Amino acid sequence: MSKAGRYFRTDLRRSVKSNWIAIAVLTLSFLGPVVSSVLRSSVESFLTSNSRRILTADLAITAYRPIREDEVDRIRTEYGVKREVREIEFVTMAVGRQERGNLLEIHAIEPKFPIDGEFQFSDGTKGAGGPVGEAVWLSSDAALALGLSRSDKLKLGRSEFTVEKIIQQAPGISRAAFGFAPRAYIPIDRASSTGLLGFGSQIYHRVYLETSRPAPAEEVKEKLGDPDLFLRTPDDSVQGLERFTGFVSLYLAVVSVSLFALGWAAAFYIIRTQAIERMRQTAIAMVFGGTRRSMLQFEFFRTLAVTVIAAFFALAIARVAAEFLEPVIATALSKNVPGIFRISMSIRDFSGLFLTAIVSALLFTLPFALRLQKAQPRELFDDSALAPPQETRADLRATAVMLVIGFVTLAALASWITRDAKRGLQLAAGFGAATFVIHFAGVLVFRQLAGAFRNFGKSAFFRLVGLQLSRARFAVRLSFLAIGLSTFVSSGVGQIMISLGDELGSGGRLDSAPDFFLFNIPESEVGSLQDTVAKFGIQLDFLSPMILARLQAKNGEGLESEQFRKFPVRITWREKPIASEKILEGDRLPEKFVEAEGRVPLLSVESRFAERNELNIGDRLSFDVQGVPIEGEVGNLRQVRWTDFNPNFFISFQGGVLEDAPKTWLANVRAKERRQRPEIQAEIVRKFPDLSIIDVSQTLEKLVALMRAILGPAEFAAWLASLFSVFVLVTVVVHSTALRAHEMTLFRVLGAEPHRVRWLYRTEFALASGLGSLIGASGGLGLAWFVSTRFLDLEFRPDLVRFLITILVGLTLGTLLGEWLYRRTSRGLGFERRVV
Amino acid sequence: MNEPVLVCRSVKKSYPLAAGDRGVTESRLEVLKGIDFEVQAGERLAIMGRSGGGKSTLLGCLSGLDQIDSGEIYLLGKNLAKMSANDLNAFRASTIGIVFQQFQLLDHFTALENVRLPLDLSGLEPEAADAIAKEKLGRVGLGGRESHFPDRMSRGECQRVAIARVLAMGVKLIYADEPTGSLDVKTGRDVMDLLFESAKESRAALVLVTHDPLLARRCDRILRIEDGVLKDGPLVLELPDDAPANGQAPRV
Repeated sequence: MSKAGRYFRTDLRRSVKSNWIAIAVLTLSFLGPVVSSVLRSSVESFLTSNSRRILTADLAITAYRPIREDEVDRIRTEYGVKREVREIEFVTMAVGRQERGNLLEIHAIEPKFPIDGEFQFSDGTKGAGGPVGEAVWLSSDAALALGLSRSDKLKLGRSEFTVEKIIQQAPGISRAAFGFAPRAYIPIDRASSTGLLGFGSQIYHRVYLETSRPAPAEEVKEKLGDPDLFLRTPDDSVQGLERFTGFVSLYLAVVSVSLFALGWAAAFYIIRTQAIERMRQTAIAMVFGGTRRSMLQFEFFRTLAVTVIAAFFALAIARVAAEFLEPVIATALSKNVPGIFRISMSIRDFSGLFLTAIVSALLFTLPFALRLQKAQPRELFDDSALAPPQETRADLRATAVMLVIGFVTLAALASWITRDAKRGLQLAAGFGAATFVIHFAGVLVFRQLAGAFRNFGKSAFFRLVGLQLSRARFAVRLSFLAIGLSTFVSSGVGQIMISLGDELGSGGRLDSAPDFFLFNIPESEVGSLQDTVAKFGIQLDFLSPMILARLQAKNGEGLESEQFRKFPVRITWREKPIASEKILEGDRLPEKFVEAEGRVPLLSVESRFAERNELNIGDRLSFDVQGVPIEGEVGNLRQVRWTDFNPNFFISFQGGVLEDAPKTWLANVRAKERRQRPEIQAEIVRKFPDLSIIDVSQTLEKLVALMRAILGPAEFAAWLASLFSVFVLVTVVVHSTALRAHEMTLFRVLGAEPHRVRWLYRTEFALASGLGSLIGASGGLGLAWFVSTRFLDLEFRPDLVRFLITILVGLTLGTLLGEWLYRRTSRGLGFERRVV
Repeated sequence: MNEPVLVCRSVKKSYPLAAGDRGVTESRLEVLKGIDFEVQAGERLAIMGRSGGGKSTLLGCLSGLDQIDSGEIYLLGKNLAKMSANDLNAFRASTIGIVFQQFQLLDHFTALENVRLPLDLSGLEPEAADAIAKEKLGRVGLGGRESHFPDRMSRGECQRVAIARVLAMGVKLIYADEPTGSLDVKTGRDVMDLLFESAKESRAALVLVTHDPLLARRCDRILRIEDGVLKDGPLVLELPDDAPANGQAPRV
């Protein structure tokens, strides 16, 4: 072995402990991205290979109206249709045994359903086809919810069916897991006799086609030329699912990127400390003939070895984790999506991870390279962890370069995990912004604190604490950031959970929510419905008309949005706003429109709908209301509290305009007592089979379950981030012992009593950690407020006890770290020998 | 006659040796084998010796930073071995100032904050501490450099800050451990001029550990450590011809 080789080997052996800590930290930080990426690749590959079975055909055409034969003919001619199956889908309330009610997603199908796939029944048999005659097939969750079994009767609208089969897994994808209503299958020729296909209901007419040659959705749409027709191919179907998996992977990306960045910073700190300590050895090597190039190469390869070993470990752990995760995910997926799920690592995962390892090594070596490049060998002799390099303009430039490279790497990593460059960039920018804000808030607070402590009770102790904090070194800054960021995430998610719990729990707004939401009420039945509910001593609340219209133009110009071309909008008229509405801009509309020359009726637009579609006060909107053109001018923008579950609309006209238009009615029903609910529901379903009734509380329970399913793991991951930040802190303490030993010795030599130094360290770390948690928790509160009010429409209810506990935990953790650092520094070689 | 500020009687100190050290048969290495000497108030004493001879160990013991195996050390009449750790800290801070070869300044503190540190630790009021620290920095020629950090100062300036720190402590005894070891000749001479003048002004005794015979000759007395015991006289017997600064021959 050459002399250089022996030197490098000795060097590696001497720094083995530090290297293993760096490898452990990096392994943990690489683990998040690699697991996220592998899961994403596996799910993508699973969906792609099963895409046709997920759609159950090569092409599906959906419309709000029956699809005409001539429209299908065009596809038959062009693409050679081998098989076709029709389906009608709608939702309705059904009542089972003991008046147990549940919302059902009804699929009225032809007997040759599906084209690709099969039913799996609860008796273990499998098969295609569909029910015939008066038979209904119920999914197992629907049967459970209604308390029905085979041969039981089930009334849907005006028709009565007999439960023939219980389905374990239906063809295509089941959306019940995502909070949608469970399914029931009836013969398509019995759909209209239920009376549930009336005007105003959400009815989907669908044709599934097997084509001789591929039929791309865009091409078919162009050929059909009708905006009413909505086309799906297997790829579209997968994309729909990918939107959901995209959401999950975004969430995984947030957690992974946070963990990665924290671990990265800790590893950077260790390797930087090692590099500074190595400067003296480098200077000696240069005196004896070593070149800058060879020293730099050694440092890079040493760091690369650390990052690559960490990458291998991360891959190995991910592989082992995959063995455990695969059956769990496969079981979960098998209930909803056909096909067999396998976890596979793609070359993209390997290359992404090792590229990250190489970039990390480059980044970690950069400070060493910059110092080596600009310094004379004589100067390198003075470098030590006790005297970090000066913060000259060149150093600041170097720091800026490193930050840029770090940001680009983080953005690339986030893009790799989310498979979306824009989203990756947003994620990295968000994380960077949070780090920036927390860091500079910390710097500002520490400086203010130092100023305040300068004359704090004329106490020299607090002056010293203030000085130590205001000149916070990298280790303290890193501790502060780690605590701040992890608290930010955990506090933010926690506070959202609390707002959600308050909203949906006892005493929250849900208690004032209606029990039932009725829609599709024919005008002729409004009176008798009012009489029916009056028998229970209650009335129809917020009785509102609903009119289907097409929004065609704004200020005389046609609207480009596909949504408006494809779907009608539901509008109403209101003489005054209801309780869940608040006018944000403009004035309250006059109750009735009075026709005068040059004037058009006024309308009120929901503020977020207006924002999305760039609608402002004064804009003139043109509608086609069942063939009658009507124009209105935006008179005000209003906020709607959707979670009140009242009949709310995006657009409402003033009175005196739409009264003659064809319409149905919506209303709320609120039982006097909870025990009345099944009775009221059964009575309405029995007497008014063709109106739709939704059990609001049941829907909300599903919504809550879904929200909890999403936010629960998010909170768990947030706490995981907190735990990881503790690991980062431990790493920081381990590696700042040398620096602190010098400082502590000097304090003691200059007369500080041991218990004073101990309290100095405790207070310094307690304040750094406590302030980190204070700023993080405050930021978390802000995040929770933003998400709760802007996205979840919840009333924000900060939990101050939780807030205070978070800060208390931060303070305690900091105190313990300070104590540990003191003890660790005090023992060992005997502090006296370090200075004398 | 004045009471001696420092009395050292039969001081012994040894260090445990790591097992397997080459050529070592005993388990402890005796560095100081019985040291006896006294230092009078205002006296300047140089201690010389070969590298590894125990000079710094002796200084560590004399300042109470290192525990002795046996013997007695009296500082201003107080036996260091009889004092508790806390009392010793406070006593040391008010009695002894140490000037180190490597300055031992805190890099994240400014010059003023470094000088003020012992005053802060002694619990002095902030205004008084600031005034003393500024005055001492001015005394060592660094007025106007109060807000500078050590990494922006030359080595000579750093050593001046360290001397200002000792002066600010108002001690009766100054230990200087190779104070010019990291400085060039000119800067070293300037720093030593300052140290001698400052010691004289504050009437503090000075114990100087050095290899430099020229520096040693500026002291009132020279002792040397050989084989763990103190002997009179300098390490290098043939002294250069140039006269000591005060014109007096050292008392040996």
